[in-house]
Amino acid sequence: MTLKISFTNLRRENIKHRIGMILVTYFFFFLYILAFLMNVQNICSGEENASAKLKMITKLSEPEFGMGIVAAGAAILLAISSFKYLHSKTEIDFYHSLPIKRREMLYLMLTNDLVLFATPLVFVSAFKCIVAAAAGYASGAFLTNTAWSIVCCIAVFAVIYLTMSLAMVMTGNTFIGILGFGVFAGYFPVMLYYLYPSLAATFFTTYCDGMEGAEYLNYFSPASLTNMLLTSYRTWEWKDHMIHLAVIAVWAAVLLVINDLLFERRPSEMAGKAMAFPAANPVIRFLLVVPAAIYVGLALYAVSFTSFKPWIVAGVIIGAFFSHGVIECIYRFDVRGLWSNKRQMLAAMAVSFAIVGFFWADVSGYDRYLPGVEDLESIGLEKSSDTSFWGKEKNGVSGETMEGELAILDRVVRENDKNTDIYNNGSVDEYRGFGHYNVRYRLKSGEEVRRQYVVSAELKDELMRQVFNTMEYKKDTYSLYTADWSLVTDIKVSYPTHTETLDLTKEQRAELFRCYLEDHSTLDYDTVKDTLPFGQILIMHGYDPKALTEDNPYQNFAMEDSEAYYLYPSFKKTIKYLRDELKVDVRTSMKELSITQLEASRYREDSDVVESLTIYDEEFINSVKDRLCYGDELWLEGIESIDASMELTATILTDAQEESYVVYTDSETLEKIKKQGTFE
Amino acid sequence: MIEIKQVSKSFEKIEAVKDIDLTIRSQNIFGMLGTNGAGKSTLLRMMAGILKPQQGEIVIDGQNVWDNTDVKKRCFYISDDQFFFPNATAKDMATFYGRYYSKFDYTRFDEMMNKFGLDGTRKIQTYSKGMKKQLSILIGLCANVSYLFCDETFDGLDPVMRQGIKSIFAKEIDERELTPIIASHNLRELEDICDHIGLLHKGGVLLSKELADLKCNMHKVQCVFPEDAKVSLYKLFHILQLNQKGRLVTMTVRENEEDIAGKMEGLNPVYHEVLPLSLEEIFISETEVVGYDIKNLIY
Repeated sequence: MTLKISFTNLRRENIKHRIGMILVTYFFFFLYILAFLMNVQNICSGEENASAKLKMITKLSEPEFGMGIVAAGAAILLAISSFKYLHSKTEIDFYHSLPIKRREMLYLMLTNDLVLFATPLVFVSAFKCIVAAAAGYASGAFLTNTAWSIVCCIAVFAVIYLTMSLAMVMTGNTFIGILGFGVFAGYFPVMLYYLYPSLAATFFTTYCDGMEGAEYLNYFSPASLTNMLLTSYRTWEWKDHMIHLAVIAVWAAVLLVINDLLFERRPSEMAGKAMAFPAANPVIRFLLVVPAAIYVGLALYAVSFTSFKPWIVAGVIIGAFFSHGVIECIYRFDVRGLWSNKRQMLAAMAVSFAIVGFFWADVSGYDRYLPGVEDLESIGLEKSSDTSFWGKEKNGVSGETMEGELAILDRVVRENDKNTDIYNNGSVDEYRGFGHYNVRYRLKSGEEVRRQYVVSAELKDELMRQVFNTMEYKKDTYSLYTADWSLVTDIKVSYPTHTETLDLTKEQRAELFRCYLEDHSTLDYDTVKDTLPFGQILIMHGYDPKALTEDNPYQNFAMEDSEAYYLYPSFKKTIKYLRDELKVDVRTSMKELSITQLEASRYREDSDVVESLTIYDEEFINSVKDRLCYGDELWLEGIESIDASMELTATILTDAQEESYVVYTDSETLEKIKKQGTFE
Repeated sequence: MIEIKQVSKSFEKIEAVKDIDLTIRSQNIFGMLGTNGAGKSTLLRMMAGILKPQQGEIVIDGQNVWDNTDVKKRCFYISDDQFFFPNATAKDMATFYGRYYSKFDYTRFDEMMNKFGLDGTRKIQTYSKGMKKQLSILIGLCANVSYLFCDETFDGLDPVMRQGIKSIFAKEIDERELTPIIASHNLRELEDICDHIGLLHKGGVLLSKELADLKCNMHKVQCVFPEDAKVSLYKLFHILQLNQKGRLVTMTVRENEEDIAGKMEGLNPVYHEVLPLSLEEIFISETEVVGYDIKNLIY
């Protein structure tokens, strides 16, 4: 009982002497309340109906970044104000001479700060409920969301506070403590997260995973955890965030234990020094210097705009020297630290070189990787630029097709270095027809290995002939086969010389897609390669947030997208449906049109100057008309038959007036056009 | 009683305190003397439980002081630059300390504040340096602890105030067994307050003795012997220092006055006189014996 009363009094004293910082913290809450009131007022005075307003006001009660920032800011400020005494010799003498155990002191501060944060949080949450009720928009969902918001804010507060307190305990100076927090917050999700992708992208020609692959590192940072916890697609659902809450709980527990251990062991005499545990200094420095040196090496290589890799060596040396020196200067609060602990600097430099060397020499055989057929489940093949897939999971091709594909890929792998070199350094004519392909090897073990290859025109044809005619490939490549059609928001059809938006019922849309896919399923690679499409169906669609995958990271940013489906003259069912049922006057060729003029333009070789050639010869124009493809709004991606190296404009006579349209044609026709005159 | 057992403490490569063995008896005013950097403050901070010894232990009344609330309740540490909360008044500070020291005597605090002419409702940041020191001592005394650790606390106090504090200490020692431990680099400051002196140098204890013992057992002897007398003084006396100018011999002897006088009479000097030593002179002699030049240590 005595202890309890005494502890309450100590709490009161603790609060009394940190009143300034506490008021600053509470000011954040005040600003948040103001912002909330303004939002409610704006919604209430809006034009929307009551149901929409209810939805919008309910949305305000969800866990979100505004409150997250308040929680994080409060955690940082309260932790600094509680633990900053550790950084002052006068204050540490004062506090540590008091008859209170260090552990009790720690828990006094931790619990006090939690109460200091939770009290206004509960007050603000109650206030929000009252305001919503007063505005007539209170609901069960509002209350539930508010409760989750409190849980999330306390979770964010706990993990940020304990990280900040750990940084303060481990350092002897408040500024260094704040830097330390920055290191804790950024080391895993920034420094380590991008290390492997940066190295792989620099040294491996077949690397194609972008900056993905190490998402788990985000779970090691309080800042990233906060971000993940509060990020929501459309609405915040607790089920989507249980993993984040669980990880935060584990982290908070781990941080609490570490804080407890270090707080008790922290030497009081380290007040005023940079770091409180000198034994940890070399380890911390090493962990920072190695990635920093590598990054400087890669950065120097990148800014050199050359493929001269020794810049990396120079960068690693410079990076190791300066990052080591700067950290040592911070440790010592002395610029002369730049020159100290040279052996440790050399060790860090050596490790950085070893890591860079590992990637440079491709010790792991990354670029030579090709799985054995016995290990393979399937192979997925896609163009590198295809990032807008919105269908269901890609499965790749399997069986005999896969075996044939693997045999071709064996040659692709062997030729990849040569082809990459041609693609990067050769002339346009040398790499004409080359393509970047991403290949995903799905192994029987469940693992998935991805590579990117530069494929020559010949090998590309071989590959496509092997896979294009299979439904497995088509389902993996054309989203419409497997996508949820209810995500479609708009459909446009383009054909010579019109583009029109189709206003379709759900049934009409489904029928159109069925006709199209039936036609498309019979499409073979030779047709694609030789036949010019006469138009396209452009499908605007949203994404299913639950189906967002790491394969399509861009979907996160563009919640609505569009995809082109080309119309070939062989697509009889689609054409018939468009004409007969949807009353779209589809033309399948430009043959019937009256083209009075054909203009070709291109950039003069090695110059920005555009030169053009205009053809008026009716006979010639008529001879190539059926090889022209209507180009307005046409997406060129995936059309093998078109040669877009020149821009073509056709002047078409319609209803006694002339209009110009962009058109495309194949390489053969383009050569004929070039021979019709001289470019000026 | 405070027992310091083989205590060492280093700050990185600097050995601040090295293998110190020291016993401080209760109800004594213990003066800890030494130059800047001698290790006084470090030792005091270890005694107060602020710093943890790297080796050895500090035992107060049979219990290790480190992170021990029971022991620390009986100790009060006054630093050379005592911390006060910003904007706090003396009364605020008294209230704060009262939360931690259950025997804190608020009535006595008010009385003493009046006696010392300090305004308890005034912000401490407006106090002079001396007033802050006085306040620290008053709070320490009113905390009713057994051990008061004062680090350079009497620097900046005028002699009258020092005398006043000394008498309060004397009264407290009698009434409630107070043991003040005072660290200072100023020997004269300690001379009129302390019962026991410990001299620290380079992290070690050069000597630790009762002030009375030091004064009784060490004397300055001036003597003149006849011209033809052959006297072997070193064989007769425990001489710490000897100077001879002409026939006048001046020596510092570690013996009591009666013994010296008896031996002198046997030597039939032309003239001899036994003089008491000031604390300063005692220290000069004691430290020179162990190879130190006290003038470099203290002044």
